[in-house]
Amino acid sequence: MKVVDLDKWFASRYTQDMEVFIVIAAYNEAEVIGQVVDELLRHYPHVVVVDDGSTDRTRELLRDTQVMLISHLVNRGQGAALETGLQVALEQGAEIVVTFDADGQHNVEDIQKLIQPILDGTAEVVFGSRFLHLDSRIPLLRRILLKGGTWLTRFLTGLSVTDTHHGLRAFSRKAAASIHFELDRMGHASEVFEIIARERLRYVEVPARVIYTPYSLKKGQSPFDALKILARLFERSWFR
Amino acid sequence: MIFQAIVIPYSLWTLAATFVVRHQRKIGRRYFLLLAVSHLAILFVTLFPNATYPLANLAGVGRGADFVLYFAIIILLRVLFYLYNKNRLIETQLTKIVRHLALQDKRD
Repeated sequence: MKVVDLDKWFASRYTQDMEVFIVIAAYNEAEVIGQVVDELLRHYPHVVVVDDGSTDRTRELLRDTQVMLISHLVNRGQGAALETGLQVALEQGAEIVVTFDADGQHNVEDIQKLIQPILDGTAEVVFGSRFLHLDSRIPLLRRILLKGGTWLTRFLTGLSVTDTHHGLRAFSRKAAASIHFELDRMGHASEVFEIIARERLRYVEVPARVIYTPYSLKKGQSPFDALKILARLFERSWFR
Repeated sequence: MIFQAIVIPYSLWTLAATFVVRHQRKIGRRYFLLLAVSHLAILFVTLFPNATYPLANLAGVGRGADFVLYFAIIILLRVLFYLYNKNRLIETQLTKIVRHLALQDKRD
């Protein structure tokens, strides 16, 4: 009886027809980055990590892995790092680009669901949504802030989504090429919706869990960050 | 009196510093003139506070001090707006440079 290596079969299925690139922005994630990339590399051969000026051992740890490592000299923010990663992925021939958080909050298994609508040709952008996932356990304050973000996105862009700040997103090549994050810090999560509305890209949401650990909660956004993002979004709409 | 006792020496000191800095060619002529006129205006208004009344009446504002305050707020807001925009531009350019270096490093 032939034993099939499911991991290799899984990886080959999606890389045969479409080049899938995973893009990660990492800043001081030495504690978890090794596990995150190891897990990803088991399923996806093309992983681009942009080290955003880390001052811990993140860069050192990544050098020993098979990822494509790009290093920012100084910290410029997640939005800036993802923009760098997107450019690299497109240069390398990516047909699907998936953004994935470095802090271990995302599930590698969810990537499969995320890219399926793009493979089927029914969407150009796919967002993960923790609110569509039955097992999501979201802290109350975070839930309130996220709901506020959802309302604001609808108000500013007219787009109807349930989770505006899920870092797990997939873009077709066409969508990735039309997205240029101008907001360097955390505002990119909301900025992408403006771009989708402007470029009239087809989008869809799929259930995707967010795993809250003490580590990820410590590194996550505070309510004050939400106010800063709000200020930057209004500023963008005024200064365009 | 207390206000004048503080502001007049301070204005004279900053006016002198402006001349020194200009002499050392650390600032351009236009900026020197702007600073010098500003400091002289502050000195004049402090020494002769009633001089602002005609201006205040022209602007429809009650007191000279109020007129100066409103005028100062408008100028400060304009400067703040300018500096904020400048900072945004610098941040954007810095990101472009950092990205360029990172990508060049990768290609090499």
